[in-house]
Order: sequence, then C-alpha cells, then structure tokens
Amino acid sequence: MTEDEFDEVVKKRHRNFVSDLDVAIRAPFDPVAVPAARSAEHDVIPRARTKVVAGRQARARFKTAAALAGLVPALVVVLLSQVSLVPLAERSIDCVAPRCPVSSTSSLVVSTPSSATRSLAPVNGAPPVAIPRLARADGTEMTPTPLKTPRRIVHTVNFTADSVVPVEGIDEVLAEVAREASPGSEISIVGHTARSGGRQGAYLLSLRRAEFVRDRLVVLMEDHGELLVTGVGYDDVVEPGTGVNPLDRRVQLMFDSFSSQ
Amino acid sequence: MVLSVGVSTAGSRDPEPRRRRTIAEYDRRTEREYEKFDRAERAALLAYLLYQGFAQHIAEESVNDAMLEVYANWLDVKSPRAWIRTVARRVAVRKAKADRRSLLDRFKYHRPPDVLAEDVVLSRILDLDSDLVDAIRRLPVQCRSVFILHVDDFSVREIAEVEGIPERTAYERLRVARKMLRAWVEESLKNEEGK
Repeated sequence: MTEDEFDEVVKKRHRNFVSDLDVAIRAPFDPVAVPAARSAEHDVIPRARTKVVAGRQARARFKTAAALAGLVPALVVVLLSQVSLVPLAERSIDCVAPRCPVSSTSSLVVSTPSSATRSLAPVNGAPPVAIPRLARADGTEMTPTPLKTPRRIVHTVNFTADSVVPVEGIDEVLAEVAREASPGSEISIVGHTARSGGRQGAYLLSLRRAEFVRDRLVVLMEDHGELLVTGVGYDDVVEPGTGVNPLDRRVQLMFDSFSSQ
Repeated sequence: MVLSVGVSTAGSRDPEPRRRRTIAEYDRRTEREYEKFDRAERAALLAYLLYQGFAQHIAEESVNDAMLEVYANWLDVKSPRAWIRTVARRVAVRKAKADRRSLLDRFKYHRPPDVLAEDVVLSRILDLDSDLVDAIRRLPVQCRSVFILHVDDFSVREIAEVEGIPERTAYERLRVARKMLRAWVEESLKNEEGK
C-alpha cells in the first residue's frame, strides 16, 4: 500500500467522522433537567446567623465603644482613689490602672453546677465531653447545641502490582462494609495505584480496580444505595514523595454512618 | 461609523492597547467570513480534540471557548485554522486539569457530579467511529499531533509551524504514525470489502 492510498483511506474515514460530528452539532438541542448539586453538609459546621452592621451604623457604634473605652480607666482610677487610704495627690504618677476590670457586672455569666452541664455526643470517635452551661446576664442561652455529625468510615482493599487481583482478605472487608453501611446509603469506591508508569494507564487501572470492588460488593450487599465509582490513578497517594509504595495499590470504600459507636 | 471589536492583547508581543476599529478595517474580514469559518471548522476542531484524547464534554466546551477567542481576535489572526487549533488544545488542557481537581473534590466531599446531561447523539457517533478514534489515540503524543493535522489537510510546512518543529521532524513523525497505523488501515479495508 502506497502512502497516497493510505492517506486516502484515513482521510475518507476522517471526513465521514467530521461530517457526522457536524450533523450532531447542528442538531436541535434538547434541554435536560440537571439536579442541583448537594452541599457537603457534614463538612461545614453551621454557625448562628449574625447581624451584619455596616456603614453609618457601624461607625456610630465604633465611636461609642471608643468613648467608653477611654472612660473605663479614668473611672477605675477614681474608684481606687476613694478606696485607698493614700490621698490621690500623694500617689506616684506611673500607677497603671487595670484596663479590663473584672466585676460582677460582666455581661457573660459562667456557671458549672453538675446538673447544668450538657454532654455532647461523640463526634468522629472523639470522647464525650461536658461543657459548662453558658448564659448571658439577661438569661440568653449561649451553650452550643451538639450536632448530629456522621462518622466517615473508610475501608481499604489492597491489590497486587499492575493487576486487578486483590490481596487476601477482601471478602472480610466487604462483609464488614455491608454490615456497617446503612441500607440505601451512598458509598464512594475510589481506586488508586502506586506512582509508576503512565498517568493515563494509572487512571484506567485504578478505575478497573474500583469497578472490580463494586461488582463484588453488589453481590454481597443487596440493599446498597448509590455506588460512586472513581479512579484517581496516583493523584492521592498515601505518603507523597516516597516513590512506589505498595500501600498505594488500593481501593477505598467510604461512607457515612450516623450510628453512635 | 465606528465599530467596536474587542481585541485581546493578552499573550501577544505587541502591547497595543484596546482600540476602536473603523468600518474599513472591519470590512477586510467580515462577519460573514467568520460564520463561514465557524461552519467549516467547528466539527473538525471537535474531531481534533477528540483524537487528542480529551473527554467529550471537555472537547465541546473547549471548541466553544476557542471559537469565541478567534472571534475576538479575528482581525489580528493571520491563519485562523492553525491558530484555533493551538488555542483549543491549550484551553482543553486547562479544562482537563480543572476537571481532574473537581473529580478529586467530588469523592472527598461526597458530591455527585454537577452535570449529568449527556449528548446522546455525539456519544453514538463516537461509538460508530470508535475504531478510528482509538487507533489515533493509541499513537505516541508527538506523532499523534502531527498525524491529526495531516488528516486535516495541513501541509508539512504548516504542521511544522503549528507544532514548532523542523519540517524534517514533522516528516519523520508522520512516517512513524503511518507505520503504526498501517495494520489498522488494512484491517479497515478488509472490513469494508467484507461488507
């Protein structure tokens, strides 16, 4: 086959391909409903809404606070002078008044009776803690409420080099996943590879590993929810900068559990 | 009458400020010429990116961005066919990197994919011509770039300019690509005869 014949065959196929693509591009577009992306609730701790003060109001408040801050030391000096036996005129000039006097009229009241403590549920395996009950002078509750935060559970299945053959013990790990994951929960299955070879090949291999684990899990767990299968190659190794690490040849199964353990 | 045409000076050596162009300048390459170029090149540009190995959605978005870029620089671009391919490839590389980052975020934060819409027609065409696309994608990167431009009817001199390589190197890469694709072409011919 000469070069011209070769070029003729390839260019003919190419022209047909481009012509098909042209038809697809010019085809009328059908709008598709796209669901809104769900926010990552468990990664963000909700905070109480605070009123944003801006502009003229903020400047007025700042001026008031500054004026009060200037008055406090003078007031303290006057009070001390009344209590002290030494007359004010005889006191040395370098006497420094406390800038932040602690008094019973402080706006925040902290009390720690045993009945007034609130125990927080363990979050992500942390030990339970008792925090003091906080309240303002006017009775406003300041104690934070415990959040019902899910625990992120990660199980790992390791693989042999350059293959989709897992090391021993995969069935035990998957059985544990099937037992711990609540029915219908979403499970992320992420494949990884060690840092060797081409990047594109690593993506494919990691994806094949993740798909292998997904197929085994589907057999074991009948009431599974959505399974998100991803292959990330060696973009997320265990210890960056250490070269080829056998532990990187893995598939991670991640899901959220609300059970208190 | 004065027409205003946006001209991006980012990346160009001539730091000419944004300026208004007269209708006489604008007449050199009219809007109609651009539309003609768009009609002729959009699908070829999409095929160019798909051959390079980019994902379907990245290729489509990059084609749109590159077309906008060439429209903004229409009066300054001397050879739009070569220019737009360079721009489209750079845009696609940038998008592919961003897409990879979003992929990592997606599994770290349990986010489902933002866009689930898929162009069914285009996927079907890719399935039909998958042997052609796969055969070209299997070529080494340097040979692939040269060969794709060759099937797009670029001369060897133009290929050398676009790739920034000597003509002799372009010839050599083309020869290697032909050698690697020969088995696929022969098989393709047999299949056509069989049909």
